[in-house]
Amino acid sequence: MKNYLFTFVLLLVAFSVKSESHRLVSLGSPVTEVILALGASDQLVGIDDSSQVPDELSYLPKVGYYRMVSAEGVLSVQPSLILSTEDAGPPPALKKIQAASIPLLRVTSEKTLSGAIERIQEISKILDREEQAADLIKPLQDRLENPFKVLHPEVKVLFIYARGSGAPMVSGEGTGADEMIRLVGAQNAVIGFKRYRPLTPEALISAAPSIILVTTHGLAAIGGEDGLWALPGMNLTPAGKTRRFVSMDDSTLLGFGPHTATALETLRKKLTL
Amino acid sequence: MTTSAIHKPHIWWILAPLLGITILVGLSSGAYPLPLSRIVSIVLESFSGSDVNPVDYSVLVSIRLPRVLFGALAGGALALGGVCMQTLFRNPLADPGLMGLSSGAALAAATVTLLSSSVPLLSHPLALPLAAFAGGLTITAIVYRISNYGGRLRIDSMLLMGIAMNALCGSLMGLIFLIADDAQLRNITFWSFGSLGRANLASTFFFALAIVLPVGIIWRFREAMNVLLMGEADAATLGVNVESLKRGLIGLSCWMVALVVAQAGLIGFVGLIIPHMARLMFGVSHKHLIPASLLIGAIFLPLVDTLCRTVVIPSELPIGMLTALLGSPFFIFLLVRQKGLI
Repeated sequence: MKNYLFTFVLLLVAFSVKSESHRLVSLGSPVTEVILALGASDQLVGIDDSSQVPDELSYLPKVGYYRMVSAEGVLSVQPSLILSTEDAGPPPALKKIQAASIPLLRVTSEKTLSGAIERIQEISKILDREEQAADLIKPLQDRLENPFKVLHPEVKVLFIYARGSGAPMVSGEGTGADEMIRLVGAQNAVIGFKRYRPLTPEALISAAPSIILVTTHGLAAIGGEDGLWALPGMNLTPAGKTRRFVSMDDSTLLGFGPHTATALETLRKKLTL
Repeated sequence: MTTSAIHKPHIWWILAPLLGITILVGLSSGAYPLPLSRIVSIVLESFSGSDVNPVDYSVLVSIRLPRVLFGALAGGALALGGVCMQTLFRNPLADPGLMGLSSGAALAAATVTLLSSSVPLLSHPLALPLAAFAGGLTITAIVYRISNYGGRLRIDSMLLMGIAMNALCGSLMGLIFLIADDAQLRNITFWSFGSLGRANLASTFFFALAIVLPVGIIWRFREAMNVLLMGEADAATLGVNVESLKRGLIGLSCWMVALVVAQAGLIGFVGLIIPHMARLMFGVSHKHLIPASLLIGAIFLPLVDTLCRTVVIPSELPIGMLTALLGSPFFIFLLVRQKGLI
């Protein structure tokens, strides 16, 4: 019911503001990425801290982290429309923004291929750029319909996620990394738990990954390649013995947006090398 | 216990205008351009019934006004809570966190954040503040119960119980950090930093109602609190009902602080610094200390919040971080001075 209502409101807004130019605030990097890919960056007047934009847009004010925006900060850039992912917040701030009669539309934040497609469709409808959207959606749809062939079961990929100096985490089921590993036809080395868990030496050894997957930021956070192989227990895993790892840009790997089809091809190539 | 007579009458004369200025500064600064002149015209326009720009209006009325008002009330309540605790423990370094209030509230809030995805009832907007309020008071009540020796409240035992409870809550928090997912972790962290941004006019009004009576009762305790500073035995000989005074101070201050925590999260160090500033400026007698702490707290918190809202425009800093940033050096200074090094 909620979804129908949402679609209805979405259509209503999309219809009423058709082919109008907005003053957009984008909350959440998946949304910003789609806006940029649709060529609507000239309508942006503000982004959140997690959004990544090319250098020529670096003048855009950042209104805080998308889960913790300040109502006044968002309103201060005088937006006519706010686009956000479902998990933007906090709710009191969003309520206050809506109280100022600025429309705020939320799109799905699902980290899957179909989630990416849905996001592009929703945003393109709102911005009246469905033609451009079709080009973005096609490769994603193709990939969804023609999945990669399943790789040899010995290809077990472990995604290690590190940020700052905290303990590195590994990704279980239902995470973006797990979805990417599955989509390229490989197997996640850790199964049996959901979300992220801290990495322990014994768990690492029993997962026995043959390839380690990291993001570029994550790799830097654990001290580069040397730091990765020095993780306790790593030298007892097949990956540690053969020193096989794949590193990809954070937003490319986990963004689930227009670039995901290319990202999947890159990842698949890197895994099968 | 020397209070210089020249200071006494000046409390309201000095602090009330400062409070007024703070409120005006708070109302007129922020990311959104809304100078004092525009505020005046918004007020005039809305009274004369003409159309006000809806964004201007809601920035003023639903964003800044509750923040500034709630900040002033909460600052006063936290400072007065600090006064009660410092008098009760007869220690200038005491604050309600000592009795496990903050850690109990934080633990309850974290639990609600963790469970809200699986228990629909807990995702109600009132669930978190209610849980934090109840959690803070529950831990304090446990500390209180265990330190109650047949009707006599032992302050030393309360201190130790408070430490044990803080450690217990801390370890349970660690457990929650371990199971929580990324989003929940961030929400818990942000909550514990504190923010006045969640206040709205209704909650501010409710808060004001809920603290009027406690403030009044504490004001009536002022003479007894002065006597209590000389020690429990002396106070009893002088005719003060020490046990009921102690119970009253604990109950009332925890009630007020728990209400602040429920609405704004953890805002540390206000309860510690402000009573000291008040003592330095207006002396140790509670007759002056109580109004001075209330007023200085009411000035300090909205002022810090205004800083939070303006230093990283259009984003903002969590207020608990800034009060701790300003408070910690002051705390260290107090400790060092108490050792007689300065």
